[in-house]
Amino acid sequence: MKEFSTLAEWSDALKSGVVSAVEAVNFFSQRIHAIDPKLNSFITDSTVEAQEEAKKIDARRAAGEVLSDIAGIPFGIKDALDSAGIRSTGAAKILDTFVPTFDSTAINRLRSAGAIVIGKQNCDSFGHGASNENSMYGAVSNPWDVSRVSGGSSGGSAAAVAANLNVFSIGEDTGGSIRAPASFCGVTGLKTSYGRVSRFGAMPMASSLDTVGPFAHSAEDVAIILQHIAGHDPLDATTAEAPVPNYRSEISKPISGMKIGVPREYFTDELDTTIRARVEEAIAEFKKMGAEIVEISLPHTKYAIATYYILVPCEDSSNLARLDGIRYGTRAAGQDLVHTYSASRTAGFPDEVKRRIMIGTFALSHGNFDAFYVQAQKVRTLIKHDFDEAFTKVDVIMTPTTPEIAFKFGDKTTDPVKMYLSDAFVSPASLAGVAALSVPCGFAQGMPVGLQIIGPRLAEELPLRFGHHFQKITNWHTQHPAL
Amino acid sequence: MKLTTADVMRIAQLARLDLTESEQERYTSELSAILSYAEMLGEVDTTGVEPTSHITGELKNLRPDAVIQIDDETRAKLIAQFPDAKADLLTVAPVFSSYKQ
Repeated sequence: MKEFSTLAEWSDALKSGVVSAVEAVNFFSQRIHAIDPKLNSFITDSTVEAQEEAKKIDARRAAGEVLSDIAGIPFGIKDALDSAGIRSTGAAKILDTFVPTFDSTAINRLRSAGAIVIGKQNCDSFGHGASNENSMYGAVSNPWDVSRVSGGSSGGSAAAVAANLNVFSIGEDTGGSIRAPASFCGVTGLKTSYGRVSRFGAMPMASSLDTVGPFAHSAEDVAIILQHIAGHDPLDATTAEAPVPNYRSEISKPISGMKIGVPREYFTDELDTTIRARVEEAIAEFKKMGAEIVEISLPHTKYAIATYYILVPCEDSSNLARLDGIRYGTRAAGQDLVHTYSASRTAGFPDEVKRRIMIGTFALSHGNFDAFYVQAQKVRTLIKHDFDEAFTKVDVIMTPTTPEIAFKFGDKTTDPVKMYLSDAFVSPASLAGVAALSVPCGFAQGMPVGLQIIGPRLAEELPLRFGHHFQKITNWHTQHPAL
Repeated sequence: MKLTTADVMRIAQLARLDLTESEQERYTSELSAILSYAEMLGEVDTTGVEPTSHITGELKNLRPDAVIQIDDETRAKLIAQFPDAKADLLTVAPVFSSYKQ
């Protein structure tokens, strides 16, 4: 196999016997051991267990069994998703020793189809962050420039695909945690719409926004993975019962005559001129392919960050109340029960998790509930309505994924509000629960730039279709960092 | 929105977090900055707008609240996760502080 191969290429090679699953696992094990010390994209290495899984896949194939298109494919998982028998920390020390007894549904479906877990990937603790600097297992470096952040919160998952340490990664996106690191690291990443992929076994951050989705080398690869993980799950009452389309055939349909909305609120004078240029060049490519460009307005865009950073901490503070060092995870000694809780939580959470828990505790408390929490929920309704309106006029919406390229370590760690504003272009789609893809669309100062393609809820096939057509006529997604 | 150190200590206590003195000061300034930013939500006219707590507003897939037995192997693995145990029992500090052993 060549150094960088797509999932579609690995799949064909495994099926035809050009490579075995054991060889595939060895290929990526060697890369992880050689390259990851520079990046820190993995928290837990499961390459030894992966060897055993690979042998089983090879034996089944040798026995003539017809296996799925992902059988024998090594992949990595953001450590905020539970994996049976493999330590799952959430990148927080309070879960340093936690070994789940079950797989999250997305992981279960991939493993059942023969995909092989090669390791658990670093991220901001419980998904709290835009730079991966909030991990208690160290930050993740950007493969394009190790002095820069990988993005957050699924930074390890994006970096691992960019550096080709696994064929694909499974991440989690609550307010940009797949799209932003995909943009910073130059890979393709999909935030699925709310309810498309089961959240069962994904460590809950903000349960009304959390989504699970893939990172890969191309939109086509993402479509292949999504086919396996999408669909109703009895273990998650919020999953949609809507039928799952055949993504690979959907994305091949033409885009000529379709309408692309360009929201003026994302293209203000404050937008970095190079990023603006790359995104406008990308949109021009779609015009060449016969799509129509329509200027639209999403008038409540400027309130998205404020809405997000009230609602999410509220849900965070409630969800993380379960972590107290009592039944599982790491317990710190306290003089009595209450101090056991606080000592365990104080030692087991990093600063950003504490900030969010406290903001949420404040906003949910008596006297602040209506002014902050309920008002944010109402503004959320207006933001969702903006998208509903827009999708009556256009098929997809295109924006930059992030307002800037990957920044240097430490640039924003002393100013939480500045860090939160990094999510300005990704949080609106999360609040609205719609589908959004980030695809590489060029470079600024040698660093990747991402194009965000947003589609209606439960219509992942539309952003994927536009992304796929873009990748057929451009080669930004086949540029790889020198490591 | 300007919080005081006393506000932050109260919030931390409710959230079961211990803060050092320097953390109290830092979080007072950080949380005040975040909440001041969020105050812009107050300028949005939300008269007659329903709050969104869940994106679909639907919960069609509820299942009966029934006990599901697990197998012995899973049970043993769960017990192995206890931070402190006596035999198969989870050990915790007394729940009532007045309780004397």
